[in-house]
Amino acid sequence: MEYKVFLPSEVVPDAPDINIQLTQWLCKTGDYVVQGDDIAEVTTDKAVYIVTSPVSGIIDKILVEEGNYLDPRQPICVIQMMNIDKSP
Amino acid sequence: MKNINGIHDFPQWLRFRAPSKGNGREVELLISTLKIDTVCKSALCPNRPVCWSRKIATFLLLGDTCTRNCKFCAVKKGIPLTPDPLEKEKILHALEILRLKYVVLTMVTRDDLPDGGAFHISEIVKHIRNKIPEIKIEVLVSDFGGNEESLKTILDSGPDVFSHNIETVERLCGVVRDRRCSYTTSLKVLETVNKLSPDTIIKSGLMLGLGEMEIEVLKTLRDLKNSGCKIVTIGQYLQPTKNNYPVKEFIQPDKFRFYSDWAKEKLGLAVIAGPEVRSSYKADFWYSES
Repeated sequence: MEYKVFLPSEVVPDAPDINIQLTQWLCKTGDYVVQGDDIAEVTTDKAVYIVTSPVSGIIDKILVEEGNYLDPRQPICVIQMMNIDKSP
Repeated sequence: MKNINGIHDFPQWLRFRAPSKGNGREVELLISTLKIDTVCKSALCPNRPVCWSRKIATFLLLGDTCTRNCKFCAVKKGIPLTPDPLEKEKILHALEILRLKYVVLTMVTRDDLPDGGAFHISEIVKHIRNKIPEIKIEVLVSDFGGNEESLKTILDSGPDVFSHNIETVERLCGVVRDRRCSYTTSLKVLETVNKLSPDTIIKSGLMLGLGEMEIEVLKTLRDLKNSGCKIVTIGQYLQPTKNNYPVKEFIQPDKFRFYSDWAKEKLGLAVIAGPEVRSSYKADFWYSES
């Protein structure tokens, strides 16, 4: 099942004229991620945030390129959900 | 200190977590439904994603509009509305839903009110205490212009922790804080509280990265200690919007550890220091530690 990942709303500043830039992807298409894994770094005027994965699965599509500004209403990537156990 | 897009080049050690899964939306819905304010949102706090995911919020009382114009602060400035008489019920309701065991109640400065809003705050503290006797309450308040009566009103309501932030070193107070604030008044507030209620835990906070020198920070810590302070938070100042005071320096984590160790060893202060630290950051933990 597809899961669209949005920026957590608490990252979005409640103020006008504030930029949010996707500064770095910490995963790439095809990567397995577990819920809670770091997936992206976004930068606002005030701080840098590490966004974690809300679900476990495979990164299916990256929707925002590094360096681009974000519309917080749009998803940043799509994860194909699956049960993944990374423990040895 | 900014990249070609005009955004800060933040140092590698300064990263805030943004959990995609947690209780953030629940907290957001709660505060918007109850129409209450939080400093987490009003001050654009970078710890908001983590705190809210754990259902922890710091409530901003007496409205969202401050009568002072501190250059470091993102809270809205202007002429505030009349205090909401239902605020105490709304805050209580939020606390019951969030099931907080420790709450920080902060406020906008209300120079427009004769008592600076002290009675309103005290009524909220008493109401919470009455309905949830086991909760620990920290008030993080303005200087009330140094008015002893207002401070007494607050203290009579019985907060566990009285907090008032000095914000910065003496030389920079006039630069980054409103002209009606002063280093001396802030210290006097803490001294007065210590005199009126020696058993109340007194806390203060300061931001680094505004252009202060080491010797000035050490002096500030000593002044806070001499004013009766027991707990001090020290964090990195971050410019909330383009219209606020610029960051002069990103302080290395080692430097925070130095100040923390120095204040513990030389002054016996409980110090919470680090780039990510804010006034109410992990307040419950530090209260129990102190």
